[in-house]
Amino acid sequence: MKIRVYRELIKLSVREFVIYRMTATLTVLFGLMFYGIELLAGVVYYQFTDSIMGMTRNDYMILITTANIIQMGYELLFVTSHERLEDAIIEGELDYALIRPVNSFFYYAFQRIDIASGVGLLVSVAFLCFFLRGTALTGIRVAGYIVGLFLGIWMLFLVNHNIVMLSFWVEKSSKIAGIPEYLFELASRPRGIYPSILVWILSYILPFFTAIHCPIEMLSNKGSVMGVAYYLLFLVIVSAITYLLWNKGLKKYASAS
Amino acid sequence: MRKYWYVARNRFMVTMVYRSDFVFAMAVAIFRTMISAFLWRAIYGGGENSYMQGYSYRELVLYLLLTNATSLIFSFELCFKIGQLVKTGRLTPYLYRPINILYENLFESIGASAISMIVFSAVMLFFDVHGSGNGNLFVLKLLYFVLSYILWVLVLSLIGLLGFKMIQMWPLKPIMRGLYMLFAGILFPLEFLPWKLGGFIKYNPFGLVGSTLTQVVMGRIGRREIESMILGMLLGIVIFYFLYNWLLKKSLKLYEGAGA
Amino acid sequence: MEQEVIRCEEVLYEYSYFEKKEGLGGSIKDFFFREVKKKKAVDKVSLSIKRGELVGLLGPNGAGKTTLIKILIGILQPEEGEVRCNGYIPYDRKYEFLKKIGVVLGQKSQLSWDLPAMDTLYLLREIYEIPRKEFDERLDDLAEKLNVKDKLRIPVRKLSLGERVKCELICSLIHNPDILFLDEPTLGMDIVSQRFVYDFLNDINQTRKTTIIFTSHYIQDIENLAKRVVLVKGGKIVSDGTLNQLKENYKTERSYVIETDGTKPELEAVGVGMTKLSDNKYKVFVDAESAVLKSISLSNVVSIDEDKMELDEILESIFG
Repeated sequence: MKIRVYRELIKLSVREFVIYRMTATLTVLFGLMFYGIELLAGVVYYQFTDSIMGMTRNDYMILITTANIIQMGYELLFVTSHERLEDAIIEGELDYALIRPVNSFFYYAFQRIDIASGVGLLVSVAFLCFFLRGTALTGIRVAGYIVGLFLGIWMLFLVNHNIVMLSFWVEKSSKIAGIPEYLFELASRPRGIYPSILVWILSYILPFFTAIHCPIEMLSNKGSVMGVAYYLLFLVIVSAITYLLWNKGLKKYASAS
Repeated sequence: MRKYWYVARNRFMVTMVYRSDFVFAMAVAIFRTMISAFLWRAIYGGGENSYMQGYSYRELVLYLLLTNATSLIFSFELCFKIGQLVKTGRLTPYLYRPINILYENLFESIGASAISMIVFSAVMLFFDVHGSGNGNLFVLKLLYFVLSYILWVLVLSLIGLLGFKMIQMWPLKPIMRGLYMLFAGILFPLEFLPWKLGGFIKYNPFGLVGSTLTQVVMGRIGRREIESMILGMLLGIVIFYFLYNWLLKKSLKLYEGAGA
Repeated sequence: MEQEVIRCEEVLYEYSYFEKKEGLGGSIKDFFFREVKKKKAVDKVSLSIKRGELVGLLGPNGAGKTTLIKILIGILQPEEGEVRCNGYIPYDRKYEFLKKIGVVLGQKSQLSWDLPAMDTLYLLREIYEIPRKEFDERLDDLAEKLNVKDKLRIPVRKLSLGERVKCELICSLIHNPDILFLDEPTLGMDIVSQRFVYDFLNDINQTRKTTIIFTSHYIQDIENLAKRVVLVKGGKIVSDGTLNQLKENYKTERSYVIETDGTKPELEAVGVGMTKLSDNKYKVFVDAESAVLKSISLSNVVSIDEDKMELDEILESIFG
């Protein structure tokens, strides 16, 4: 998809955002509220201990802030597209997307951005800078962290995209739409608190833990090359599968509508 | 009153049709409890006998289970009902039919959460008989539960009146969820909050139906405090009832009919 | 003018469905074994349309009109047969092909509901890569002709249905397509808006030589718009020709209505029958193979008219 088309789609998102000012304000507010609750919970937990599975309070705050940045990044770039896509599949409104001279996969993936999450993202980044104060950082580590964030956002996109695409084949699939959110919530806690089998599943089969911990490991230079290589391979393979499934889904959609 | 019985019954039947929604909501509540339980286990550091703010690890998990269970009873559905009715113009029949929308809200909610309410009451009885706290207060606890439920319906109906003004009500859903998470004590008992915040906010409507209700069930709150909370809730119900009727009258002037 | 833009040969499209069995036992059976049934939505259809034609696909609900349109615009892939649209296989969905077709799906909207139509048009400008100057000129022209210049900057949700359809038309023509497909374009529109749309479509067909293919089950659409009518029923084409040819074909018997002063007409004829329609109207019809009307007394006759079958009657007899 051409960048000019994406620029128009972003403009549409901004215009839609400002129409409903009250809704816009509230969505910004609740984005911040959940992050605030997470931070407050962190304060509560560390009233009773100095370390949770080797994590200091600051480590914990960096962990939940990183998770929040990935979540907000996903919401900024993709969540509205996913909501619209799910509706479009269920209501049979994909027809116009199929007759446009653009790649329908990318057209639907990048349909809209969610401005409210952008605000949440900026606030989380500001907090991250606060939690990282005094940490010795190099340019490469920061770059690695940022790449890790984008990989995490892409990972969330892939999981959610596949779940939305289920609507091509399964009626009432909306109930499981929340599952990635719950798994992500689970993964945004220290890994050490969970049974090892759960950690293994959520690191290799559905690498939610990797999505959140990879950027932090990049930042602290603790990540293993093999672990990152596996994660990258996973993302490439799942991206390819997602793209294939999209085309299969479109065929199914067309024959059902 | 018969008509409201039918309202509750019909809503109950709908719940039966969509029972998988209920099972799913329950699974989510258990899942969330599990995440919190793992985290708290790490905080307790395996010290079986250690206590935090008067809670052993076992008691804390029980607390988390019960508060998460309250989220199945006290849903936010009502908040969005009026907004929907106003938006689609389906509020009109309420204006020409002899039905009180507030009572309908109450009975509809009861119908929706009847099963969870019965199960919760049974758990309450069990704790009263076998629990470690001061027993034999079942009737008083049940009264607390009923009044907190009525108060909840009133508060949600009041928030729901925003539907006359707001075109889109959906952003309220996550906000309500967030408020419930924090003020109902879903993640931890409200006394755990720093800066003595818990002492103030345990009487907020979310706390009354979440954290405080759970502690009432667990027998962690004495007879005197329950009695005074019951009196407080009665007062709250009266105030909110009049406030609701007054605001409804004002809000109805904003209603333009179908498609408004 | 004679160049063929659409060619379908023996096109077949079936869709699968399954019937739910009744009761709990039925549901369990369905769970393990679903009997999949197939229905032919388009059944061995052959069709040729030349550049600049204005063709109406007419048929009752479920006749296969929309499925045929979806095959022609590349949303559906036919199971059998060959389709060429503007020289392309539609289902390949080549960008060059998609840039040369415009589509209006009457029951679906391409406009952003909360925003003015202008915003959707800006997006389409980028999607179809229309040069800015060309875009401005064409938009000006289309909006002028459709009389919606002042509506393009109003949020779509505030527009009337007629205004919305006009904006949809602009969206489908802004890239100057060779072929315009319209699926039920006038659905729900009032008579004044309908007439406006007819005039507009006739105009672009004449001036731009845009080939227009539309589906409808409205007789008015066909009478006001179609130069060629393709009747579709049960996935098959049952008739294809001009409106007059259609009427001619369905003239099953020759008959006349004679209006009199109230008395019975006096005829001298062989093989001619007569029935009374009302107090002063009589229907005279051919009753035998060799009918001869030798004389008729005009003293009590007020008028004599050929009793033609109207289009709606013809359609009723075909689709009924």
